[in-house]
Amino acid sequence: MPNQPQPLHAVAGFAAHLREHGFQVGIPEQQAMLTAALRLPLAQHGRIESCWRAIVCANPDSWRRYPELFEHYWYPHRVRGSVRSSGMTRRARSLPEMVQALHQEMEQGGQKPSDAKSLGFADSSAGAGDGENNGQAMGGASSADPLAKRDFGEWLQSDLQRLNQLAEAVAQRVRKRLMRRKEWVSRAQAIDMRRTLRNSLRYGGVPLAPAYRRARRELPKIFILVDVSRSMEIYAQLFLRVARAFCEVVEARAFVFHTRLAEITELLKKRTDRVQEKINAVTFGFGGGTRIATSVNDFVHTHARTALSGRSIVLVFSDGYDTDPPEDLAASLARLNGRGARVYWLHPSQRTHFSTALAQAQHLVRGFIPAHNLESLEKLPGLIH
Amino acid sequence: MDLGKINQGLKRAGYIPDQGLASALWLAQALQRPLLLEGDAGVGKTSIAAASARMEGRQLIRLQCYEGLDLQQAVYEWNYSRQLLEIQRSGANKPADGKAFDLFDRSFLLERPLLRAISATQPVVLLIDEIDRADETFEAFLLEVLADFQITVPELGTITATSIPLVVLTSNGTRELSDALRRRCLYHYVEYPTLAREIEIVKLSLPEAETRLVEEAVAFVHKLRKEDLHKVPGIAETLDWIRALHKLDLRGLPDDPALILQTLGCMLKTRNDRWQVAAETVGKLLGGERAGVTIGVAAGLTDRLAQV
Repeated sequence: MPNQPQPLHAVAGFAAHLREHGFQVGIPEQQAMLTAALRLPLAQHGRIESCWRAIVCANPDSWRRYPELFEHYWYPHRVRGSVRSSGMTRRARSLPEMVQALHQEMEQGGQKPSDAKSLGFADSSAGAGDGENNGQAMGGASSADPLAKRDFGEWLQSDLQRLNQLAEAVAQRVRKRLMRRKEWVSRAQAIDMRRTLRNSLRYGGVPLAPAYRRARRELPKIFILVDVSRSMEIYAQLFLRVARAFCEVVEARAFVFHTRLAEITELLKKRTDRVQEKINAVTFGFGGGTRIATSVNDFVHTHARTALSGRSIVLVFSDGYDTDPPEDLAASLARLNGRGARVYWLHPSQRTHFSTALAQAQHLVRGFIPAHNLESLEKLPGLIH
Repeated sequence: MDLGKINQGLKRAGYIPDQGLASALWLAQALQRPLLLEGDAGVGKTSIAAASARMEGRQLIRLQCYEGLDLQQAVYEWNYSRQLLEIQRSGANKPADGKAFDLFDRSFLLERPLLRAISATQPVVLLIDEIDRADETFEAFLLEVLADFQITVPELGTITATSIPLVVLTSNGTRELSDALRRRCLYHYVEYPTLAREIEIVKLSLPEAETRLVEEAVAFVHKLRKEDLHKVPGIAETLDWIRALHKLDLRGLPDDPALILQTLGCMLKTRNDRWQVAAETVGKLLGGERAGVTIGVAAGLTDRLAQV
């Protein structure tokens, strides 16, 4: 193992690091990263962070998480409280050195700095894997992680089928709402005159292709917040399964939290056995304890800021044990209610045990639903409305 | 164009960028990739495209997206009335050379914003505004334009760009965009500006306003944004408010919360937000008693407001 990693491998390693944290960074993105590094004058290498951020980020969530991941990878000594996940010592990476080496390599080859492909990057195996060769094996391997021991593969097909049916039943139960917005359809009662006249232009003014419109019907948006803290350890697998069923069947959005909140919708939609590892990677670095109020606040103000409306349903899977001040949960849920969302609390026990925080916020929750096993969850459609 | 020049150029064009945005714009030009801008309403997403066009002396072509936007309005449309007239004319007078005219000639094509940007001889700036308001089918159509800078017209074939436009897409996040679209674009999330940057923006737009007024007002807006508002005021709202305060001949923020409340309509655009930000909240945001504002100014404001 060389002391200083080659620039191409360093970039590929960083890409793998990002992929492990839910970023979609493929070969084209890595080529763009290299091109940006080569085009940027050496004196301005400090700008590489913002350039790469534009390339690898694709939504507000990844945008917010990127700086921390960048620091963690390139400047691990600056990250306070970071935990080394293996016993191996490793020479610290140096971004300026990497960029300089990249430029030198290009100059020695007498190639144009604009062409990353000419570096043979496309053939490099370093970037093609799914993060296996990074050697860091991020949070997934950490014994501290509450989900690490659970295996998604142990579920029977019939159980999964039941969960999907459950999500469908909930979807049928929550009535589709008529929207103010209209949609164009091939058959309906109301003719869309404007579009019909426009279509008739191509037939010399004869309305041969009438267009119709009707009010759009949409399902309420469903959001699922799953508590994956230590106290919820044994239920997390069941709840993540439920979340996946909802994501697939009714296009719900799913989040996990213990001390922070992270969206996992895209991870759940991917049909792969490695979902568990990826979720672990996303939640890696969360501290101990459970901060429900902070997480709900973050959900209202950041993740679902524009998506919450009077048609939203929020299902919280948690035992309600919160390390935030007890009154904070009520304040956070009040904000959630203020956006018009209906909150249902799914409790992992047969009888609801109210923590202090939950007792104070009780009036803000539309319903408490026991969800300690698959059987109890089957009552869910009847309780949500 | 060099990164430093982009910074300077945007400033000259009336836009104060942060480092990340300047880098993203530079990269969009260097890699010839579209730039997707997301962020809350009023943070200046649309004006980035306008400023880039001014900076480079390019034409700005804007496509405002809305629900129901279709290809005829966004890309091209055949000029049916001209085609009909031409059919009638050619029926009456046979052409001298005996050749039948082509009904789907390029001269019968009405170019809409996307095709106009693709077929422009000089590079332009193409702004696709509020892409999240357009339907998913239209978003799917955009993929060809954004990836290859080409448009396929079935009757004519594929029209490839003669000059690569700088494409800027904006989204307010009212609908989740497809992964396919996101992957074809560079991405930048436009945040609310820092205090110093917002002061600089306001000073650039309102050079005639008193520096003290600008600084105090922007500091107030920053505190206001931390309140639990439904519609957080953006830069445009800050500018409107300070413009209003300047028109009232104020040299600094008045002490009296009631007077500030009378002008807060420039920033708080929903009934709930107006109700939530009462005199008490304004007083708290002002930071209690403040020195240096004369009672005369505050007293005169009421008369002035009555006149307005």
